Amino acid sequence: MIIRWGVAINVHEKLDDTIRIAKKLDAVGIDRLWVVDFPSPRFAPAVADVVASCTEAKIGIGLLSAILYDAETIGGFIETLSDYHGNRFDVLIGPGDQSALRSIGQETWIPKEVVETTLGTTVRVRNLLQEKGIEGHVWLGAQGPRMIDASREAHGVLLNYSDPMMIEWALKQIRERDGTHQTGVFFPSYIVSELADEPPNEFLYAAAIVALGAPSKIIKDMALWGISEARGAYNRKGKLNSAVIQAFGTCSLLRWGVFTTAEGVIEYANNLDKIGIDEIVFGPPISQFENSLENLMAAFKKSKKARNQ
Amino acid sequence: MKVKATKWIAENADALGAHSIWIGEDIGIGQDVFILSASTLRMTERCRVGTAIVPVSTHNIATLARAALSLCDIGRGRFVFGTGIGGIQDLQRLGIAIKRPVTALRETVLALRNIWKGKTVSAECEVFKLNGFGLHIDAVKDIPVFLGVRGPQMLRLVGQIADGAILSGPLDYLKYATNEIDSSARIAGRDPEDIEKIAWLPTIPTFKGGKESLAKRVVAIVVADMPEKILGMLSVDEGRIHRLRDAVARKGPDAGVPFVNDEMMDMFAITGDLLHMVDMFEKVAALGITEVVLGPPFTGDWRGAVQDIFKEIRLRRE
Repeated sequence: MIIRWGVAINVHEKLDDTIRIAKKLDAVGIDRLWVVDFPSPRFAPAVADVVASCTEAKIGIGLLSAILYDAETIGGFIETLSDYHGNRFDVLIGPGDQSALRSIGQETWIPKEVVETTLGTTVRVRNLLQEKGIEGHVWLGAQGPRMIDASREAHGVLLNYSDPMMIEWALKQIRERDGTHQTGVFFPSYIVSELADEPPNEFLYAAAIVALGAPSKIIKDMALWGISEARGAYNRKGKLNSAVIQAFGTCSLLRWGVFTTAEGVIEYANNLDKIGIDEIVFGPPISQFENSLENLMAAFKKSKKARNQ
Repeated sequence: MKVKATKWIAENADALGAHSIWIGEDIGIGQDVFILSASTLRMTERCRVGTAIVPVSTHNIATLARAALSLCDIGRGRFVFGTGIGGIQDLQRLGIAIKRPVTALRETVLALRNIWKGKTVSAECEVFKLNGFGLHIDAVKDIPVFLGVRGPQMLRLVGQIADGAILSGPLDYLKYATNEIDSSARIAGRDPEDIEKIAWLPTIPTFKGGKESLAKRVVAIVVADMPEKILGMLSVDEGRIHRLRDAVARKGPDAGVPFVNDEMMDMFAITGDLLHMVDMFEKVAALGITEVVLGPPFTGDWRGAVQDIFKEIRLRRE
């Protein structure tokens, strides 16, 4: 099996930069461009239309929040994009960022209802696309065990983990996978020239967001007690700030994203390939840092050359 | 409309000399309005592209803010955000009831303008709630906001806060609407000339095989969505109008078609041969309307009709 590489774009860049980055990644043959949605300031479906018009890569839309958009709306996005650009689009659905959604009026957050709404929307979108003969895959974005297991109702799951031990824990949460079910991982990423470099704040904040969303079951099963203090600080402050980052500590946060060199990322990808991961998606802040993106592209080109041999 | 049709319009608009392309949202059906707007902006270079309209009642305000920002970027300033509360029939079908629509629309527009200026907004009204929401962007160029409205209070709102209005209805109504907008603008200390008035009437070029039945359906929708107060101003068969509105409310636009007679067609639509249609466009323009919209419904050889109409307009301008 050959693991696919994807990169998240449209995180916070200006549109011209998103297009420029998309074209660069497309030129090296990246397997998929993931166009990010809310809380990105730009609307993924519209940006995806422009990206699709100037690239040939497969495109993923999302994460689209099932709290923000209903199934018919999400299905409409994929159908319209497919009408213009062909069967190139996958969609990633999840609950979305709770605190960002709170800022736009989604104040009620009952976990059981959030999970049910997300799963219901995912299944409905899958059925809608199938009814219309659209080949796009529907992925479920997940961290918690219930959602991970329920991803069997979708075409696949994009796990919000990067640490191989956590990924293996997540894979064990899926009962009775069939051969068509895809698994991917989506994580904060920053690729450096030398490991002596310090991770930028943007990486630490992105990793902290992932760590804060981790379910209590993984914390318990993997004895991740070290992050409890930071989660407590976040709950008291009600927002993610430098004090919370400090409470996590850089070492701890490095487990929630990929911060490595080009050689390191090739080795990392190969390891994930061996444990059965189908797709790795390099998330923010990589698209906001030119050097980091160049390092990733160099790694991808080398990896692609090796896979073609 | 199918992609083939919308693509043709986008690919030919600049060459035809069209000033704008206006894209309506059919809630829950058809192409996604924002993706269609994006692709239309991509395929044009000079033409302005606007939504006409995207309702504030059926989208989260953050989606509206982000979509408009994206389209402003894609179009490099050629995008117009056309919005409104939403058609009465659509809202009824969706079970949405807005108690204070003028306030809701006003507050939404004001919040959006602040969001596009790069501000963090905390505000709420009947259709949205924001708690410290911002796009965290540098301030952008003002995105023009046009309101698709009909009633007197809404027309006055246009004069107070909007960059333009998207109007539909008989000629008498259009005259009344432009006067209301201009008067309200003066009271608000604004120059009426700064506010565009777009007239969007059903157009049926019968000289190119246009289907009258489809046009009657569109007229039925316009009449059903027209506020009572406005209908009261017109010299029409009131009984017939009420039966039409009742039928549409109960069973949808198709049920209203049998009630649309020639009198209503003349009043609410532009139809006929080429010269008559262009004469009507000029008549509408003389009411203070700054732009007249051609179509829908697009039936018969509508591509041929569009080309002939634009050619005739160009000839008359020479």
